[in-house]
Amino acid sequence: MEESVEVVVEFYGYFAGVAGKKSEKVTVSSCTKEGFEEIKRYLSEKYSINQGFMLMVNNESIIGILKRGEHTILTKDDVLKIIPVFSGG
Amino acid sequence: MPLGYNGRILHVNLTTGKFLVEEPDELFYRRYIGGSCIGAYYLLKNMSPGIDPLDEKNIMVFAVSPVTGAAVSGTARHSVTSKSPLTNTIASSEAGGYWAPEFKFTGFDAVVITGKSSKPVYLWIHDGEYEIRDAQNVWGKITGDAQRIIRQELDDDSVRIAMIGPGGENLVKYACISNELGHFNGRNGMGAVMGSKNLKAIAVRGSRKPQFHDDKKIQQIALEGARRVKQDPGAAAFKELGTSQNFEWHTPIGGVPTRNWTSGTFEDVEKINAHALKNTVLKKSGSCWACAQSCKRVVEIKDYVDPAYGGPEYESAAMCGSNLGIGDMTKISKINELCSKYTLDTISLGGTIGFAMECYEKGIITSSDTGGLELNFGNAEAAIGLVELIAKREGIGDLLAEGTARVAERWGDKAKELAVHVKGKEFPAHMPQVKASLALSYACLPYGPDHVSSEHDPSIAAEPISYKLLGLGIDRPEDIAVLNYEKSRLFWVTQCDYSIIECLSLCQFIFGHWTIMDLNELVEFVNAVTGWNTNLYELMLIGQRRIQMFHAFNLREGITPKDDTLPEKLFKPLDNNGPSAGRKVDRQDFNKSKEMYYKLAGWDTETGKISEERLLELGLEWINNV
Repeated sequence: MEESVEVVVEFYGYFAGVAGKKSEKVTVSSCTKEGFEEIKRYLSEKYSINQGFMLMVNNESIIGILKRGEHTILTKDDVLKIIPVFSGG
Repeated sequence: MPLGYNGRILHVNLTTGKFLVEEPDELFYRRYIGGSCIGAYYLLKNMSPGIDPLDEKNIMVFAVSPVTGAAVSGTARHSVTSKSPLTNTIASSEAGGYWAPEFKFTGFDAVVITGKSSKPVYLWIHDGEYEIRDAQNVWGKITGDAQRIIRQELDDDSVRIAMIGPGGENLVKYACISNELGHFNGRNGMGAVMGSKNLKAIAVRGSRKPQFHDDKKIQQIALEGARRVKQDPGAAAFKELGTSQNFEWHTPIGGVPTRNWTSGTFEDVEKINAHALKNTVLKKSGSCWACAQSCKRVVEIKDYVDPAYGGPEYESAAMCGSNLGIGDMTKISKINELCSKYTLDTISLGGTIGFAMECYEKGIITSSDTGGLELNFGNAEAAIGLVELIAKREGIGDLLAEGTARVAERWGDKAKELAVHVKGKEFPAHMPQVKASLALSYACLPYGPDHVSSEHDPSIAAEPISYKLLGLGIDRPEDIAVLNYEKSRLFWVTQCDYSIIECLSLCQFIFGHWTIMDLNELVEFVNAVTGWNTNLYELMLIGQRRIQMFHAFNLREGITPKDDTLPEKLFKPLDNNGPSAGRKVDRQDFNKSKEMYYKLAGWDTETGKISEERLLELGLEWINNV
């Protein structure tokens, strides 16, 4: 199924400073895996956030969901968290 | 002498008062390079097994590296290696600040300390000269007073001093070593080892800049580092907000250690996170020598917290904040200041007090055990009072000074179920339930749980994975909370490269995978300093050499694979609160991943013995003869 869906992107850590906001609504054209790829392209093109982040939805990282089977469906108002990666401190 | 080095190692015997200067050949330096790799060498060669860490036969090695003294961001660190009184294993502890380059300029690369003075003393090392000086007039003094008095005595305000406070003097098992009042060799009780030798301080002053191979290249690296700190959004955020950004990063994954590790979500986290610190108590950011990053925090609260003692980093704010149920930045800052004055590790202190609080709340101990202190979670005044009691070993402080493991032994089986430690050492503020590879790291590291010895799971949780990790062959993304063979590989491979960063006494906030410089630039830097034309392969071998020497020391001490485990609490679900509700470390996943880690490391899974071929690969066959 290829349905467009509006989700909420939340920026954590210094990404909030980069984006100039803590969250915003984003519409993606696909509610499946392609939708996640669209989100990543959007982060890269709009905010130059290209790497060094985790992408989580419903408290699970996107990679985990995709690896367990590509059946994740984005639904309206799902919250996608963009979190800087970090090791230590 | 080899470029980048002084070519001289100072040995001092505090029992006899005698000094010896050793001049190793270049091959020694090329094999062991610096930091705690050199430290491990001397401990293996010169210590017999089974020595009590607080016995005079324990050896302490303060060491720097060839890059120390090159004015590049991230080079102002030194390492202290010894047998730890907290873990009874070999351990090292690193610090930034200003002591390391000044020590390098005295004309030595390391000082190896044995024996015990009959009375309190300090070492004074300056421009190739060295002496033992009486320290009875500063023994018992907090760090600020001791620093002032020693500088007055030496008539030089620029003397840099690595020292202990009353915590170290009283042999608190997690006492640390301070320099410039706000930089610490924090973990593993190195301060207690100094205290056991009646060694108050090592004061250094020097003007002997080492010779480097390519000064122009070094300057380029320095300028590039400074430029990136200014322009990289992550680095700029680090300068503005410091390490307490970890609260912002840990909150959405439920990774904030709360109330003695019972939860990963703290309801008052917004009162103690990086923005809370900045908006309430922050006076300024602080820095180490020659470093543009300025990640340190300096806090001030009029008539309450002295900015001379720095300020709480993330570890302090979490372990003495959320882990104690304290959501008050002023109180956390006070605890931090007291720990700085008395030289106590805030991580182990917070872990031990948190454990005591949970025991109190569950009725395992009562106010008759605590001397009337009500050790409920959130009781900041009680926690503040405990700092001084622990440092002075008074009342319940005398027992808590021993650390969680020994306290749990005293308080019995119900207490042991609540205790969070490995090999006697308390956890840093990163939760293995949500960053799974830390389950392996905390269990298997030779010196107990440590958060700066390998890459954390978020770094491979998204695509694209950083090119810095791709360059190490880490190319498969994995969920942060999954523990599998990929995480064994992540831990092993990055343990080796974090190890070389440590051997070079470099700062991970400049040369780590998630910060501004990469491993190719690290190699360029080492070559610019030494002229060796080395490569990443050789440097990773040196990093692994250090790991294997540490492991060999521990095997000799009777540490076995059974000691590489986790507290029972981690195999039980976290409380039902927040994004990590109900999460735990899966025991079967842990055992399988640990076994794979051992195989990657070249260790027999039953005995821990290092394979002959691995020793040969690293040129460490001599270990079998010590």
